[in-house]
Amino acid sequence: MDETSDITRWDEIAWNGIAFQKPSCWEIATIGRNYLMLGTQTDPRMEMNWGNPSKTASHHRSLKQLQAKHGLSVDAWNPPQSWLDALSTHDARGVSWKNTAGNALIVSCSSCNRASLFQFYQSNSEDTGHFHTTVSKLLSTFRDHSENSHQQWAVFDIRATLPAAFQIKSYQFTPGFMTMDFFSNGLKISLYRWSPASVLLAGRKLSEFAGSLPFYPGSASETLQDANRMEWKRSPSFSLLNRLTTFLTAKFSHHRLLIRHVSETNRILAVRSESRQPMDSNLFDQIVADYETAAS
Amino acid sequence: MKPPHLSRTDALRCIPVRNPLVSENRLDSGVLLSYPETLRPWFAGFLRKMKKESEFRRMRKLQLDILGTGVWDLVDGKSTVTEIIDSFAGFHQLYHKEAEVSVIQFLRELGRRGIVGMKQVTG
Repeated sequence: MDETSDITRWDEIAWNGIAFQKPSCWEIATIGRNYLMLGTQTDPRMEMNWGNPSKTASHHRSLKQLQAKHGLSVDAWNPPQSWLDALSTHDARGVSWKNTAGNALIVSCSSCNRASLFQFYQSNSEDTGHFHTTVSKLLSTFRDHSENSHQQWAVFDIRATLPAAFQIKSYQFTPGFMTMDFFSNGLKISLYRWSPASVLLAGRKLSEFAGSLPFYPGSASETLQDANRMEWKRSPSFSLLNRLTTFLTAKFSHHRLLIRHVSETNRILAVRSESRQPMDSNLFDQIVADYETAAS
Repeated sequence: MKPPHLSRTDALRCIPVRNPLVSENRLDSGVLLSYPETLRPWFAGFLRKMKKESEFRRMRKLQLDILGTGVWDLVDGKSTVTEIIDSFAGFHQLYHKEAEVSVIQFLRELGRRGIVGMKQVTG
């Protein structure tokens, strides 16, 4: 099947502040903190860089910073009108590289002052009209800031929602294992995802799998909710020595881990919190409830 | 002679073929493959001239886990790399990209050891 013709199925990508809908066959080929490259099995289809939002800088200044950061020596380029129409709420302009062939679209947002740079690649077998329609549809769904106090995360098959204050600190996406670490004010949230669960759990229980994890907190604090869901909590005792040690070492002293087997998608998901103060239980439960994997 | 450069599309359309000299032993934990050690071409050529190749060619063993055994079973001499990836992803409900990376890496490793070869599909 010609991959470029299969744009009937779309899904969302949301990563470090930006989000948009894309054809399902455009998968993540490379991911960086502020960089994405999407491609089909055979061809790259788009690249994207973006800056951080700013409260003070004007969006024109953000735009220039992004240009300077990527060493863009550019001429003006007129993007297709349909692309510009799709970005009616943003300031969008086309640029053309001076030294190497290529065009890009620089998009800045007047409300969050974030500047983003898009490059789209038309495949050899793709009709130009089809290409412009796909790009326009993608751009029309582009969001570079959240409308509420929460931020979505949707990469590969992971879907999560966290309070916007959480910043991503590290991440790892490898076959079979994915993890993302977030920080906010002395609180660390880690999301984990393993697959295929049927192989990882072959002949053993979820608790035995959990016991093999390097951050397994020990069975003393274990709460068995059902065979597919387990939780651990560990908080320091209230002895003066413990409190003093915690204060002096500035270590995370409160730990919570919830691990569950999602048999429908053949995944194992876990949410782990580490904090200096006890974490709001409702917030933890909400993060767990919002953390899921999309069906393959 | 250098092998011809393959595009990614062509590589995915290749058919992995098992080396007929490889034997398999089915265990509870997966398949145990026995395969002849790959010699450097110049050394293999030298031994062939000296008619000593069989004396120097040792058999090596490779234990596959459950996932590796799954991919090995899909190497039937008919399925393309893409078809193997699709079957593997479907069977384990894996995210497609995840299956693609795993299967390609695994086939590359089998190829490096001379356990499978790649048949290029023309047309």
